[in-house]
Amino acid sequence: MTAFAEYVAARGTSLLRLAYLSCGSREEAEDVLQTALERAYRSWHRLRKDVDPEPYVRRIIVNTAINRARRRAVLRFIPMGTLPEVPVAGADAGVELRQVLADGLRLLPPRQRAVVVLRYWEDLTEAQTAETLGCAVGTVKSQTAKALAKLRGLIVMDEVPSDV
Amino acid sequence: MFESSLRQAMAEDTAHLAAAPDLAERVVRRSLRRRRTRHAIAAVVTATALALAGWVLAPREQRVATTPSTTGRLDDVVVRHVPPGLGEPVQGHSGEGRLLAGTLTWGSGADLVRVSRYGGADGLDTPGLMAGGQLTSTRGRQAKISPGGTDLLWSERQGLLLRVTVGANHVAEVRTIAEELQVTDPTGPAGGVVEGLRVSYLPSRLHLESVTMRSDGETAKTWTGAGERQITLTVVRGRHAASLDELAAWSAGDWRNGTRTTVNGRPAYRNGARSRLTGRLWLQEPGVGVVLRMSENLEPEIDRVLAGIVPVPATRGLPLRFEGLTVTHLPPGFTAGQDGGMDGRGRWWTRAGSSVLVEVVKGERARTPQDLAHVSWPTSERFSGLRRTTVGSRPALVGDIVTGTGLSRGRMVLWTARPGYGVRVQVSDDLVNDLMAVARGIQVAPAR
Repeated sequence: MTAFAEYVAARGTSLLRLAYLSCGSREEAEDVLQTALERAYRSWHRLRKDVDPEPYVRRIIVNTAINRARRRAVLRFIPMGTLPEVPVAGADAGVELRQVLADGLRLLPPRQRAVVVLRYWEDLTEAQTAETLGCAVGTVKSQTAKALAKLRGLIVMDEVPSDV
Repeated sequence: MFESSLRQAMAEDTAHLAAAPDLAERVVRRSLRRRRTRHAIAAVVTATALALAGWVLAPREQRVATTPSTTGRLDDVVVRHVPPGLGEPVQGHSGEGRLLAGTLTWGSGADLVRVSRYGGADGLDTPGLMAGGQLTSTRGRQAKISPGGTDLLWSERQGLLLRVTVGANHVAEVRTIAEELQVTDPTGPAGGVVEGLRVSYLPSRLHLESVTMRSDGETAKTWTGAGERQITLTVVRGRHAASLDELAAWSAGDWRNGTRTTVNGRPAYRNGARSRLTGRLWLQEPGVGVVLRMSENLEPEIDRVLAGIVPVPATRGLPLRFEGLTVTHLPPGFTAGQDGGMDGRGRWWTRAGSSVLVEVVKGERARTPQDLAHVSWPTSERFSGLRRTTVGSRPALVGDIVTGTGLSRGRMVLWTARPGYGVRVQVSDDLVNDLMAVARGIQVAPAR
């Protein structure tokens, strides 16, 4: 088995999960992952043997997902910046809360979604996230803050006393 | 706290995903194909023309190989991998020996792919089932395979046999189809729930093998997979879990030589080197101890598994007993049941526009599931798309509830626990995916 095949066998599922979180649908994720791995494979011989290929592959996956989402958004004129109204979960209903968060993540604009995934799923630092996305650390901070504010907005509404 | 919920949400949302076993191979193939394309554009133009001509002239059987197949669901079994080109599956039944199986079938003859589910089966030695098969293993379980490799049968867990049968064209895929089957856990996605703890992340290709309860307050849930991969989560209630050290002293394993650590902010033990399994032991709360044991080959996943173990807010009022049955599971957020029912005695639960009804029907109206299907509906509603299923190995019927104008109002499943004792479970439209979990959580006391 080649080094590339070994790497994909060991990390394929984790990479698929990253792709899925970055683009929000399984079909799209499988396509993004295959496209990204194809690009990585073409440059595999240039990677040093003692260097972990994961950051490189991760960068391709996330940026492929962002580019595709942007292209699609322009084609379809989806108002990605505004979250639609969705049912609100109770503060103690942990399962529903997480479902709301998972759905909310899909509705974030592509770069904000990528920042959240890299920071809270891949546990990257702000500097590593900035390097992966090819942007400034300040951009990562502001995009993270905006994304979390939107996600929090989905559940904070529940704390407003009801008129009933 | 918020970030932790976000991480759990992402873990739950991706728990069902697994990369295809031949992913690297496909990537390499596609990449080589593109390289050739770049280097010989003119040749490719010609080749494309030839290929197009070939496609037009090719027999239909060869052409359909490029079209996808629709994956399917057979009761609690989700079929996630089917060779391409086989189209839509057909549901059916087949009898072999004393057993009746629910089946899902794609194609026929050499292109056949069939998944069979035998509920209430004793095990691989059930008389009449694949008598000439050779012993093998799949999904980390003992299995039997026919001499030609076209028929694979295994005991998924106690009382459930699964089988994959293929035609000559798909012999190479029989194990992949079996490995990719997902048997849903009625207590929830990923690892479901164990004694009030949700296991929201499990490594891929681990399958629920058993849940055991012991009289000393210990409940253990075990998942296994190919390559001797195993996870067991044990929840201990009572005096053995009064303190962390008492739990460590009582629990089997090399905790004494272990090191102190934390699990989700709680003090914990990491087991010593003499244990065969990797483990953590902690007190979820005084009186509730938890022990996680994993095979060594899963050690890289242990932090993610631990982070996904979260307490489930208890549904108040459960388990609820009435009319000889016990309701043990409802979707979260339902609190108190009210009396209700259409032809018998039941309980309604409501939650912000959602509803669940569990009803017991006795006597003549409950001799068979077909009798039970004659419901005294409000005049504007009716049953539609009735189909067979099983609940706890009992034959059952499930169908949609629609209004006179064709709008869906929910779904109902019904079965006779014994002649003259029927159970109906009805949920509103937003809870159709929870219906079977509620039904499977219903325990009917034996007749006196």
